Amino acid sequence: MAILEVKGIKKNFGKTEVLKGIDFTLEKGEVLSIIGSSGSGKTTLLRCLNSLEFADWGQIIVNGEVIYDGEVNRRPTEAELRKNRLHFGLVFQNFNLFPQYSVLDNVTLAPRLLKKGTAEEIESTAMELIESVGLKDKIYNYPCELSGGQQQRVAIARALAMKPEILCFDEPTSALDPELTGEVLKVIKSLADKHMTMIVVTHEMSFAHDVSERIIFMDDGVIAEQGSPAILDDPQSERLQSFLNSF
Amino acid sequence: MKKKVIIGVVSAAVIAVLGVFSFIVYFLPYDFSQTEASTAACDEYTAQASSDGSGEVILAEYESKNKESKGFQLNAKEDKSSPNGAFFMWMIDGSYDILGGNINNKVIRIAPKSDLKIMALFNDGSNAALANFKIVFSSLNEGFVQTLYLFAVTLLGAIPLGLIISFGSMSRFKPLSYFVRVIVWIVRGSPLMLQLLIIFYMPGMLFGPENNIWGGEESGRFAAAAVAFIINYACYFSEIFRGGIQGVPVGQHEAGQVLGLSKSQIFFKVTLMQMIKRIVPPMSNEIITLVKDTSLARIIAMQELIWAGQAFMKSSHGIHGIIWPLFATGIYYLAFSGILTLLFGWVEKKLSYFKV
Repeated sequence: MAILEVKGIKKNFGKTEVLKGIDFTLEKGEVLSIIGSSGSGKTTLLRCLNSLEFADWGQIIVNGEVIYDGEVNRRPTEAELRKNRLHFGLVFQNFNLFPQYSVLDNVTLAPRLLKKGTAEEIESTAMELIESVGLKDKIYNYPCELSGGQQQRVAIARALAMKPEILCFDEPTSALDPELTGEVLKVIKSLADKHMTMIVVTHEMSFAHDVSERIIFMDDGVIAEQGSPAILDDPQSERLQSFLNSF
Repeated sequence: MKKKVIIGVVSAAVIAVLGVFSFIVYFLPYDFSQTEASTAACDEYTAQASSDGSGEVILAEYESKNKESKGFQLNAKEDKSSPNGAFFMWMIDGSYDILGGNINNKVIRIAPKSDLKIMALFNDGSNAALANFKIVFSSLNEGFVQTLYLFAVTLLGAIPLGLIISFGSMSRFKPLSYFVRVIVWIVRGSPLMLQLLIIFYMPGMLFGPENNIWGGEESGRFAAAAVAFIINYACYFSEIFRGGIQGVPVGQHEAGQVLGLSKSQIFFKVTLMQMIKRIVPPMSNEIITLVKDTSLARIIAMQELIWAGQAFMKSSHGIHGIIWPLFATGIYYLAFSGILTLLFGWVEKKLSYFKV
């Protein structure tokens, strides 16, 4: 059974149709990359999955359980939202670390507040995560003392601390210069090697090619083409061809 | 960094000057030995300077028995050791001032039925300036206490009210938010002095003196001033709070959401601290302005610091026509705002470990 099924997601902002019916499934341990030009609806799709936006139509099904149904004419309650969001983790384009907390506190804050174990367990898990993203020597530093790449690695550790089933990345390297991009991609690659289920919205074509099992190309609110990474070498649709040529 | 050092040095200097003044006033060896005289039951009252030399105080209480205004005479035996002693005298109820000079044959006029408490301070002249000092500063201290009191009450009232107003102006219910914004515009757009005058005088002027909710007492003046200050400062604070709340990037809220935090957890654990850091500099500005704005309460004759200092230009506590108490009031304001500047500098430093 697929860990995630997305069926017929549509989303309008006012009169603008941002998502015009998105369907895809994701298997456990699979890495899915979503590519496409700006404004094609990639970020909105991720935000719908994470319940930051609400689709107007369509269903989101996690492990066979319908967590969101656009046909049901009511917003999920606050408690339902919080439960739904815990299936997913989200790493933002601009990190959104909590500036007033140290690296360690950023990672432990949510598990502590949601009582995901004893203080010692939470801290030792957090330490392991921080070490796994290569920032063991920075645990007591504050976000303002870190480079962009380091901040994004902390953000990844923070998302992992809640043990999400599906980790989403919203253009995780777009705010970084090329030098720092590499260190973040390396962390994502290592997660892929550990078979973390991930959805990565990215503009890094060669990275998408290397790391993902499947690639979705979105254009103007629809999935224009999808398949194995080979579609990047041999695009079938004209739109994907012209998109790839722009790199 | 250099700026902070300068502020620190200047504040320290001002505090030191005030300290020296206090020292002169309170700690120089000056003997105000006090003698209590009996209460007079008739219109003529003889105050006796006791014979033990200079530096004497005559404290007398007099209750008028007559309905009509009567002359009231003070006589004092001359003391040989201080024949031309300077004489300061004031009444506790503040209704009369008595000229300084020789105590003999002073005539005081009092209102019918009024109770009168007379304090006379008699000294031999050599310490006249010092006695002046003591009188002026005790009067200024009283004014400063009122100033401080108004300052504290304004802060205590305006901060919560400002929060409520800021929520009102951010309300998604448009009529409420427009209404609140118009109120804020009116209050911020008109002079505080005008608001003070209207709030204090309007009830009595419109509904007659008997319906004047403030009454004619000092406590009523203070209450009116406090209401005006709280409303005015709440509106300024509300805009600062609004800026602080809206200034926290929406991404911070969303980061809390995707981690599964509740709304209150996000507010208290994520955004609150960032708001506080954002509002400290503008709040310190407003609060230091408030220190000085309390003097506007002078316009409705609230007996605050400026009122106390200005009174000596004409006549107060038996002292006439001196300007220096006004400068002294300036020192109080400087010292107080200096201390606040240091305090807020410290808070900002405490919060400088993170950037927003």
